[in-house]
Amino acid sequence: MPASAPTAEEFFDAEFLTALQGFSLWARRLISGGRHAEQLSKDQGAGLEFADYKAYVPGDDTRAIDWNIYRRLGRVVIKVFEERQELPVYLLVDRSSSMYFQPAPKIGVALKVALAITSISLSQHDSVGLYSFSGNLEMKLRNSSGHGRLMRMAGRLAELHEQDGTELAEAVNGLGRLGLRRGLLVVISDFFDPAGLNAVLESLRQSRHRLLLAQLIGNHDLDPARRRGMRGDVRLRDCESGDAVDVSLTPAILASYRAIVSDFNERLTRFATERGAGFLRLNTDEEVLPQLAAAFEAGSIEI
Amino acid sequence: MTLANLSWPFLLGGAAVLAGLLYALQQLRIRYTEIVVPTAMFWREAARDAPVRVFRRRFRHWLAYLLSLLICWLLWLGLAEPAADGPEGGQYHVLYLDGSAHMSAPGDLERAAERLRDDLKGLPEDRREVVWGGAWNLKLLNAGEEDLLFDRRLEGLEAEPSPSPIDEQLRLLALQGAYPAAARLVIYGRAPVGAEALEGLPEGIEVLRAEGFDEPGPNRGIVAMGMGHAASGRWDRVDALVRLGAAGGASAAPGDVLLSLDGAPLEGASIEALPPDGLVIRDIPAAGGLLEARIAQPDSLPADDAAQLRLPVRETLKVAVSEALAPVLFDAVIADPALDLAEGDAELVFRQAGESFGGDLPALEFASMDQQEAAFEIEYAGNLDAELALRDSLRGLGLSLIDGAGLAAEAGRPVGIQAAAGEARRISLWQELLDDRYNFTASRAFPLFISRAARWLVEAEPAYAYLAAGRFAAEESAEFALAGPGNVATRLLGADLAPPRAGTLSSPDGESSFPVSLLSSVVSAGQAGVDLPAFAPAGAGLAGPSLLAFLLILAALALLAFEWYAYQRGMMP
Repeated sequence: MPASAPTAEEFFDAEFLTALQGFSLWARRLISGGRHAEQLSKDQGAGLEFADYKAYVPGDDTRAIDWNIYRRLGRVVIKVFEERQELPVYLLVDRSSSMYFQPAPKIGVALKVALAITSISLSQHDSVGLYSFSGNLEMKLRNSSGHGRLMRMAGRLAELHEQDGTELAEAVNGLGRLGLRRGLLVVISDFFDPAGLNAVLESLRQSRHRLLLAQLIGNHDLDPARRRGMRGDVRLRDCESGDAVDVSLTPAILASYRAIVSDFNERLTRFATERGAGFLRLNTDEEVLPQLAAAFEAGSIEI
Repeated sequence: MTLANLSWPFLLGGAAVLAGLLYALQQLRIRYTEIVVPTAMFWREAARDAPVRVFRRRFRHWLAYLLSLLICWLLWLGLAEPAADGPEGGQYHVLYLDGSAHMSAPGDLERAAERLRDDLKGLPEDRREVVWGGAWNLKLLNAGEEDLLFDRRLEGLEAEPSPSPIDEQLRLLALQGAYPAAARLVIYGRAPVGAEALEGLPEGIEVLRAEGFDEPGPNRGIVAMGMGHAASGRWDRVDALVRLGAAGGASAAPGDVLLSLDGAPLEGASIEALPPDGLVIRDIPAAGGLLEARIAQPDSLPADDAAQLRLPVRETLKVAVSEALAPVLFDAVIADPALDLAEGDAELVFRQAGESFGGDLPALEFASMDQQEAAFEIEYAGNLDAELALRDSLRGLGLSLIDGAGLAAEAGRPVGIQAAAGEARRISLWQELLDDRYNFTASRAFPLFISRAARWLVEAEPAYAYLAAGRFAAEESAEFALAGPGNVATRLLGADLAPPRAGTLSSPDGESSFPVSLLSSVVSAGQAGVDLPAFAPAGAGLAGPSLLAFLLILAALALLAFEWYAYQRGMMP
């Protein structure tokens, strides 16, 4: 049963955002070209943090010559500084029907996670953009930075509504075709794509961006026997496509289902590890903040 | 194996129906409960290896079907209450404790009761009953009643001096529906069973005898004692016959019998031996005394060692005959030793109809054919059925001996007998019958009619030729039982019943009492009937039908539990 998205005021919880202040999100290396911010970039020399010495070659900035070393050693070396740049963060939020499916809609958790990532990123002077997908990809908010952007992001998130279809793989590919500057792609979804997990993972593998995958999953997804009426012979109809599958619910088939879900999760986790992507698995039937706190155990996630 | 509740065809038919029904249920289209889920992709994959049941698709779950079928069959079989064949198996047991004179030897009944008590333990309570076979059959223990009640109900019961009513029980067993089709009658005692009774039993009914009661002990007893008119012709005397029987190697001779009258040795009568085992006592005074025959040496069966007989009172009646009647009546009275021709102190009179001769005395009246339609008119007091009274009259008054057809031909009109209820006894017949042209006075029926009519009119005390336990008295005493409420069998017993046991039979008003003797050659002479198979029960086991049904249901429940376990483990759909 579909559910409506919460309003901006409903999920723009000051207490929640305050609790996120200690968290940070670090990309290992950024590509050059961005404006100065707090993310370490591959560029050296323009920043404030001392990194190393190097022999002077013609063309180097003479302002960087360390004259003290020249006086003592007679050699001309220059100081090299690390340059910090902004990290473009692209939020890709799933708004397919499965995210709105009752009795525990995942969209609420998805929006909270998106808001949390936005808050953390903006606090690090990174730019955040919002994209949503279901049957197609839509840009909801162009990348921008500044603390004042948080409310705007909240408003845009609240405007998201349910749409039919789930084409995550196509959405990731579409995002790649936009020619965005390399940054951090945060995928917030249940990853239930009719095209299959392989297609999703392949598209993610092809992405130029660093990845942070936030998988949302509910107890009913993990253990369907908990759900009322799940016994005997049932016709299970997909909430998005409407396709049905007839099942005689036996302990064997329930076990088989659990094994398939477990394998699904395992493959997603393994992909994140191999790809060097960040990975969050959030149970939509539990509180978001404790789960985020557990993920940001050391105060930061390094991607 | 036998079934208590169902027949084999019904059981097998039901099993086939169950098999078909379960098969159809397996084939039925399933009504699915529709549930919307976000994870259909996972379910599709999970269901790939476990397809659902589909109508008319190839039957996939044979083992599940067979398991369900087995459970249903076990329950069905349990409902049929099967029982394994065997001595104490599925058959219904009628344990017959013989309490007749056959078991009157000291210790016999106790031994039989003990044996029966032991066998009760090995039989299921709902598949057995206990019957006491004394003077009549009495249910001691119904099916389903606890064994403990047996001893309580046996208290006070002793072997009765009567023949065994085992034949009644056999007749009951032969009745369709009275007992289960498979039943056994086990006799604890010596009650003999005739071959004819066994042949009348339906198939499935067995008759057995508990071990240890086959051979009767040595015995001799009185098997017959009766009386009749004295051969000497003396009206006030009777002759009596005593016959002996012996069994188990004993011998009986007439010399073994002691005779007494009213407690004193019999005198004034001649005793003739009637070889090989009887004696006749001649000319015993018929004065209402109690004649007893007793075997001098008592044996193990005391019930038949003595027999008694109440002798009739044979006083001569004083009859006044009207001069207006034919002389042949005077001759008849004079010739009859039981009648005395009297004038002043007569007890009854013979007179013409309408004549005042004799006043209110009982009268045998003779009316003209013109005045009376029926040749014989009999009035009796009381409410006896007229047809019954007429029947008794024909025999009792000797009218059955007259040549009715000859009289009718001579008279030119039908000779009828009419019986009707009245205030007092009265007999009236055509006076013309006394004429010589009718052959009535010359027939043998005439003196008999005169004699019997006279005694009936004064309501002479009835007497029995003999009274024996278990035998109808009415037949033997018919010659004394005249029409009307004076029918002694009816008056004495209240109904045409045989006295059940030896002892004393009293009339309801208590005025008369008659001794009843055993007089059974079956008991005394040991006529054992056919040899019956011995009943040797095994110990109490698991063969009781209820227990077996319980075990079947238990097995079905165990299979149900296994089915649930297999279902939980995913071993079956």
